[in-house]
Amino acid sequence: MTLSALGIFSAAGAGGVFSSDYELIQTQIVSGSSTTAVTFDVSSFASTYKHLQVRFTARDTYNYAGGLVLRGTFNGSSSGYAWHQLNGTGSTITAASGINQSYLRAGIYAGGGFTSGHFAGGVIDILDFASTSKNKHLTSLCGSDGVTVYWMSGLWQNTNAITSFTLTCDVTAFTAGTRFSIYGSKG
Amino acid sequence: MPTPTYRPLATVTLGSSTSAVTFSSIPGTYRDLILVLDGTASVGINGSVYFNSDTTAANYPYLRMTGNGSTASSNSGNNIWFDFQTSKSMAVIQIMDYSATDKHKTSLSRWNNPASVIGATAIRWTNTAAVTSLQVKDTNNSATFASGSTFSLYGVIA
Repeated sequence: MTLSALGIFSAAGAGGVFSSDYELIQTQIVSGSSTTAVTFDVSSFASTYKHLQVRFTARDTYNYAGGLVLRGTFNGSSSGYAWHQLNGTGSTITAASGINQSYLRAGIYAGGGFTSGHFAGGVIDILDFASTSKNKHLTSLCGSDGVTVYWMSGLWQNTNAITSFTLTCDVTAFTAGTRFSIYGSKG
Repeated sequence: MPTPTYRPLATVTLGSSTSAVTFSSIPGTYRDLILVLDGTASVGINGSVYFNSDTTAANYPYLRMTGNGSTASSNSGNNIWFDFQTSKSMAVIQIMDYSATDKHKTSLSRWNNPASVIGATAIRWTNTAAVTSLQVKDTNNSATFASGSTFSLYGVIA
C-alpha cells in the first residue's frame, strides 16, 4: 500500500499570516567570488530570542574535492574557543578537539573541486546567546558526500552576550550562491 | 523585521502498514524542508527518500556514521538516508535549499533506534532541479512502515 499526501500545500504558501516562535532574522547569499566571511549582527535581538540557529549551504572557490573548515567567531573575538568533533569519512570515524583556540570549527563545507552544484549543508544551534552569566555553547551537524558528515560541540568561554556571529571561509572565498540564514527562537 | 517561519506543511499518520509515503505538490516558497519520521518498520530496514520520482540509487550518494553502543563506524554508498527498526525509531532530515535550481540537494539526517543504534547521514541528490515531491520507503522496497507511524514535513523560509 502506498499513501500519498496530495495537494495539501495550497493553503500554506509564503506570505500568509502565521504566528511563530522561530523566526528568520536574516539571509545572506554570496555573490561574486571574493566574499571571505559573513557576519550577522544580532545585537538588537537579545530580548527577543533565547536561541539562534544558522542554516547554510556552502562551497569554497578553492579547487579541492573535500571538506573545509567553516570558522566561527563571536563578537569579533579571537580567543576562548573550544570544540569537540566527530567526523564520519565514509570508512572511519575520527574524533578531534581543541581548547584555547582563536576560532571555532563551527562546521564543514565543500571545496571547489567538486562537480558544479555540489555544496555542503549544515545547521548550527547557538544556545542562550544573550545570557550574561553563561559561557556560550553551540552544536552543529554538517556535511555532504565527499566532504564527511561532521558533528561538533563548541564552546566560547565568555559570558558576554553574543552580539555578532562571523563565519569565515577556510581557504580562498565562498562560491557564489553560498547561503547563510540565521533564525531566532523564543524561550 | 524578523519573518515568521518553520511552518508545518503536512503530517501523515498511518492507519495501516504502508510501503511508501509520498508528499507531492511541494511549493517552492520555502528555503529548506525538514522531514520528521517516527514509528516502526515490519523488519529492520535502510530507509530512502526519493525526490521527483527519481529512483536511481546512484543519484543519492551518502556518507554516514553510526554507533551501536559498543562500536562506532562510518560507511558510504547510495541512497540510504536512515535506518528504521521493528521497535521505536525516528529520523529528522534537513533538506537544504530544496527549491534552488543551481545546487544539488544536500540533506542531513539524524536518526536513531533507542534500543540499538544512533546515526547521522549526509546525502546529496545529484540534480539541480527543484524538489517538488518526495517519497519515503524501504531502500530494498520490501518492508512496510507500521500503522501509527508518522511522517511530518515542514517548510523553513529564508
